[in-house]
Amino acid sequence: MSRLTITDLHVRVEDKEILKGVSLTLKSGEIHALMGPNGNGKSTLLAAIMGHPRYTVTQGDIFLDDVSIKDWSVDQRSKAGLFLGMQTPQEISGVTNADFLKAAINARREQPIALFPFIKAMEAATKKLGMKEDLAHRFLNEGFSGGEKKRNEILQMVLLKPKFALLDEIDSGLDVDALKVVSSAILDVYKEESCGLLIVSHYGRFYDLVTPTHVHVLAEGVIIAEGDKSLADQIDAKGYDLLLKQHGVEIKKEREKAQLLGTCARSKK
Amino acid sequence: MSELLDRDTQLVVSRDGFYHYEVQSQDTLTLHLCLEEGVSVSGLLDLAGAAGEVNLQVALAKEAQCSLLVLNQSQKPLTVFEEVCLKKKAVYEISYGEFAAAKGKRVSAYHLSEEGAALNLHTAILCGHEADITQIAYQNAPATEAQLSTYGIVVEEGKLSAAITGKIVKGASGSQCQQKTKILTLGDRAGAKVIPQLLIDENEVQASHGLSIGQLEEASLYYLQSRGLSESEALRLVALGYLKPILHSLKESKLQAHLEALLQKKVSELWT
Ligand SMILES: Nc1ncnc2c1ncn2[C@@H]1O[C@H](COP(=O)(O)OP(=O)(O)OP(=O)(O)O)[C@@H](O)[C@H]1O
Ligand SMILES: [Mg+2]
Repeated sequence: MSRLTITDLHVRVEDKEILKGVSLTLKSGEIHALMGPNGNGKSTLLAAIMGHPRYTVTQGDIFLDDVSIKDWSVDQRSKAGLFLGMQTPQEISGVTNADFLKAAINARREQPIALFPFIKAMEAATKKLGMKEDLAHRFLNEGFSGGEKKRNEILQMVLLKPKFALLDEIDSGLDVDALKVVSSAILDVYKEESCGLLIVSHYGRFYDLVTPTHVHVLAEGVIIAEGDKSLADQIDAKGYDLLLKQHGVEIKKEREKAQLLGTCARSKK
Repeated sequence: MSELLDRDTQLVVSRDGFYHYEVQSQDTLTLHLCLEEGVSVSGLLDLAGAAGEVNLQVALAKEAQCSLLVLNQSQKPLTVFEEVCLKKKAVYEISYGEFAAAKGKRVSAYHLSEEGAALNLHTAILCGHEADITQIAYQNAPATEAQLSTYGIVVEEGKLSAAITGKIVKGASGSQCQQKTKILTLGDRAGAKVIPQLLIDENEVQASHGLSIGQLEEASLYYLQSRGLSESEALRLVALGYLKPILHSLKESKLQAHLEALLQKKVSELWT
């Protein structure tokens, strides 16, 4: 059993405090949904957990099995079992998916993986995600469609078998069928590795396929509500307004203040 | 087995085959290479022991074919002059692996002087010093083809300047010239300046050039690291990605394997 613990996390990006004290514990076998209106810090939280150099932790800590990983490098965190499926996966020209994945697999092994088992694993994962066979030889995400990029993130998750997977809007850009394929691939890893999942999504449809055990709502850099799947259903049906009203008195004041100053504290799609 | 070249040499080749030469010279050395009509050769020219000035004078007779890999791992400042003359339907395929450990300069001029002559020039450069490269293809006859590809990584104090020119004269109808240049600079001190030029004086031609000079985005490095690659591993992978296309230009599989191993070694030395 592993545990990822975030305590009182404050995170700053370019002189702007985005997270203002977030606490959260994720255990193996749990599926946590992280919801919240656009621009409120969900991706920031995930990036901070992964150790993105632009996101500075100014207060609080991140623990993996009671060891602080706050000062660890990004690759160290990955090798320790964290995986971040990104909202906008990077395109890297010149580096093939196969070379990249082999290097990523080898990074967490003593002996480099032999060619044959690697090809078999790659082929199986490619098939599982319903991707085209030439994937291995294409450059990393270059020219991929939005949906293909998301599938490729999960393909990496399948091959890297993380302890904790943080999935940032992995469902956006996927068509109905792809959503099912991707969800079932995620659930397979979840069952096989009994990993913990922290999932950011705006859509109830995804949470119906990958059912969360816990739901957190992040607004203005703090968690304003927590509950079970029914909270996600409620948000899906009624939106955030009611919740923000119930829980966010102070937050609302701040927003009004910001609006008085003529700026918009949060951006809406 | 390789042969040593330590003085001015004139080679007239009348038989097909594979040739391997190592240049050993601290001063000025000239190599004349003439391929007779219809002869087809491939070869490796190793400049690791060269310093000062190396002069390559190459002439391909009608329908001759030459496929050459030049490896420059010179430890001392080196200037290479290359002048190539291609007759009717002659094909010259030249690949430069530029990995010099000192500053260097190369001036290559290719004269496609008769109908149907073809040039296939590929340069892969790992540049940590001053490097100055000039490559000119003169397409003086109809239906000539020139491809000039340059892939480079500039690191540390490296300063790469490259002038790449394709010139198609009036009357050279049906000719093609393609230029492709892709350079990555790593670090604040590394710099690259590329001047691609197409000078075309004939209407019925096909010409194109693509140039990109870029830096490695922080987001790319982060992405690779988020999958467990250390910074060095990530840089090695990206650098190899830039340099590897040169391998496709080599037909001889043993030269391919040799160059691939060398690329791996060079990149590993830089990012251990
Ligand atoms: N690198 C950055 N530079 C400047 N501002 C940033 C940066 N990253 C995030 N922000 C700002 O931080 C705030 C939170 O952004 P974040 O991406 O975490 O939101 P989110 O909750 O994931 O939103 P969405 O649902 O739209 O994905 C936004 O106002 C955003 O503009
Ligand atoms: Mg986001």
